[in-house]
Amino acid sequence: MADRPPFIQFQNIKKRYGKHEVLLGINLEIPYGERFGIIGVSGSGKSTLLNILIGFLSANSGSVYFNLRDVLKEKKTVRKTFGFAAQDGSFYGELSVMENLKYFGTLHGMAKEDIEKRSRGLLALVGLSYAKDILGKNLSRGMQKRLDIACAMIHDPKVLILDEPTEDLDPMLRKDILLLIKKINERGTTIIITSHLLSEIESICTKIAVLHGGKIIETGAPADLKGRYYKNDEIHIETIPGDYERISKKINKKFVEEIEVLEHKLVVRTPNVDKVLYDLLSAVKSCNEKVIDISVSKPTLEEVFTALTKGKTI
Amino acid sequence: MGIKDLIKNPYADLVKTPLKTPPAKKAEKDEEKPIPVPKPYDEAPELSDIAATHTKIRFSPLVKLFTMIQKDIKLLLRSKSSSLIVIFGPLLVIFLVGMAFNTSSMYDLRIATYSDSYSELSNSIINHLKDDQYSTFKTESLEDCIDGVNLGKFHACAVFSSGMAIGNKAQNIIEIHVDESRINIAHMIELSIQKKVSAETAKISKGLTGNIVTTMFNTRDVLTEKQGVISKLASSTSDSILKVSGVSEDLGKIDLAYNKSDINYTNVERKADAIKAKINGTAGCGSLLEAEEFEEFEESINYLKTGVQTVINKFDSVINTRDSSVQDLDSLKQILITGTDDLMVLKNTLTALVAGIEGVEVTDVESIVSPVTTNVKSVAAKKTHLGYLFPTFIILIVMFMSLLFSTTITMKEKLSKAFFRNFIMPTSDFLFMIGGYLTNIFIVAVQLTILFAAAVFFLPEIREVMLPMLGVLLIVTTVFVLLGMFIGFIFKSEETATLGAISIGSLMLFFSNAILPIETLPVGIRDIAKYNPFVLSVNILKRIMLFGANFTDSFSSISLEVYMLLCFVAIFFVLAFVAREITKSRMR
Repeated sequence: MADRPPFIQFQNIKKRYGKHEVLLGINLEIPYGERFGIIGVSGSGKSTLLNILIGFLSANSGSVYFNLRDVLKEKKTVRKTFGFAAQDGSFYGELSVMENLKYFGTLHGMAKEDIEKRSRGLLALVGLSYAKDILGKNLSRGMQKRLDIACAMIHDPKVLILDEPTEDLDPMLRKDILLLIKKINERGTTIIITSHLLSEIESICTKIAVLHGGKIIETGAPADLKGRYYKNDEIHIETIPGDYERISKKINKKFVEEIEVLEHKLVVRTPNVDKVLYDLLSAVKSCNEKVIDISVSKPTLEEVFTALTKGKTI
Repeated sequence: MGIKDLIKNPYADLVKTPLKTPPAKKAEKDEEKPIPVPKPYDEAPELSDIAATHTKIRFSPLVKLFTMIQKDIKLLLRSKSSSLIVIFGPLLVIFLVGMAFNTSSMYDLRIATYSDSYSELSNSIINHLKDDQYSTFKTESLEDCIDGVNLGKFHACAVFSSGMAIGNKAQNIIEIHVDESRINIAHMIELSIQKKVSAETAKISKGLTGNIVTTMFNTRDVLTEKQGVISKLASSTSDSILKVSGVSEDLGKIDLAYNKSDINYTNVERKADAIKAKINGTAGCGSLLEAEEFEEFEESINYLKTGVQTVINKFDSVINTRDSSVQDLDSLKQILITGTDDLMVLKNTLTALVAGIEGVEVTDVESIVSPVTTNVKSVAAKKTHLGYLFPTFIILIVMFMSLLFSTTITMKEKLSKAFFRNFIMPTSDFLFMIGGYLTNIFIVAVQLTILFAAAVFFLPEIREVMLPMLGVLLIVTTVFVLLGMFIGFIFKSEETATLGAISIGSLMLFFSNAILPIETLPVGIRDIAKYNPFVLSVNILKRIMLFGANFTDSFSSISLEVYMLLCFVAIFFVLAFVAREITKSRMR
């Protein structure tokens, strides 16, 4: 696998709108079969990057390669290989679910039989088989999102690009969509996803890239990133009556990197969680405090992202 | 390392609670400070107190309404296309329409003329036709002249009969061929030309009448002058009559009557013979002349003498009468000689007057009153009003249907959620354009099918020209559909796009022959208006329907307009395509 060329490769992509430079030279490789997340603050250029990838936008300089084929020069071929689901959904509200799929399938140059067959499979995949004759505008938000994904996949793309797929959805629907994305990926489709809900990215993506200041400042698996930038685990403990200053004084500080109070909990960061946890519980006991809640976790992606984008070393 | 040193809070900006103030302690501190207790409802401030803190607004519904209207206007004005349509649209329309129609004249009417042989009179009328409004063109043949009207090259064709001349009314006929299908201008042109011809013929009439009147006046003057002679003749005739009467009376009075016994010389001769015989003795020797006998003889002589004297007296009287009458007759003779001279003069004068009157060339009243006759003929076969109006009516419907449908459909597509996806399909933009175009063509075709099905009932003759008509309608629909698509792509909202389509359609309608003839437009504007796709389309359809033009043998009669429409197709396709690309770039 190591000698295989990158599935998708951005080479020094630059893009500006007027005088405003959005992308300052993006270099990024997306391997085959990944669920690849691109995270960045609003306006960082995530959507611009995706639009360049699908050939909707042209870069001012640089190249994008898909399987060594230049995306910017072979738009038509590449569009047959890519599926794109935009944030707002992109289908005809006045057409039924099936009619939408047939329409976009035909535009992709598929044969009628292939469309029928593919639609049935897709509708089963996205859970819209029972709603195939319902007009797009009459679907619920979650169903619309699933229809949009189905439309993006009608031509069986090798790469599915999802721009903020869970935007405006309630937590239950988000969960459904994330599960669907995983299911799609498991069938062999490479997923590229952007979202500002970093917990979702963290939960679903196998790899992520952090886009900031017009550049990719970091790439890697979420766990690797957290491990790379955050060596400490966190112990969160809540006690009664909660004299955290007294408890803190009794802990052995040898392995403690940082200690603070967050939302009525004492948070202790340490590279040696076993030793400090023992000390902490001993200190609680000696202070006659009663433990209400205790948990051990690594820092979230959001915390890593915040730290990264603020240029802080953790 | 103290606890404070250990406490590093990298999220200080997110977490406000410091470690050194644990909740328990904080609770104690909180106890030191009196916790504000919510006031019971009975201590709640009165509504009037709250109201007192604000300026009281009377008629608040009106204020709200005003605010709503203000907001709506702001929204409207801040949308460039909306404000353009709302404010500048009506301004532009009234400016253009006002500038174009603020006149009662017609401009640049082109009159073709033809005659087998132009005469002085026909040339004079043609020259009279030329002015600021009219320009005239002599054609080589009658066909060129009439076909020119058919093709819309000329507004009218005036055919002058050969050998037109003043007084030759039978030959002085002008046939004016106009396109009756241009209902709102045909009669204006007819009247206008007739007015021009009438002006010229009135001039001729004036000349002819002038001649007669001059002759009349001359006759009157001569006769007036000769009235003295006639009076003198009358007077001398009266004198003559008197004189003749006098002579007649005198002659009548002559008395030549006498008694034969008064001058009975037989008795005297007998007595003289008796005496003579006595003297000569012949009467018996010795008869002596007796005195008695002599006295008797003398008495007889005296008697005869008296009788002769009486006759002599009467002759004297006759001589006198004769002398007097001769004198009178001499005088009468003189009068008659003078009168004869005068009569000769009069005769000459009258001969001259008759010659003058006979010198008036045109004496036919009809020729004087109307020296030239104009006949109006239609170049197209006689149709009903619907027949004439049908081309305009069809194009009007096609224009608005195509414009509005294509604008609406384009706008719906543009505002559709799926519009973006179309751009990332492996399908060319050109194909999308063609798809949109064909959709609109199909819808308009359905409408036209219904329309024609009904129209055939009223105008069965359109079946004969159905094929070329459909060919033209396809081109015309294409022009307006592409224009509508362009409008749909450049406007941002469906409402403003619809308003834009209606405004552009209305402008094309105003600057056509449908309401007022474009000949009423000033030349500059008219030069532009004649390239109006609506005008071109109506012209083509009219020629097909009324003059039997088609795409094969008589294509030349509509070729120019057809090529122009095809140019519009190309222009609007490019514009619509560019507008679509701009829309695409706005989405990026």
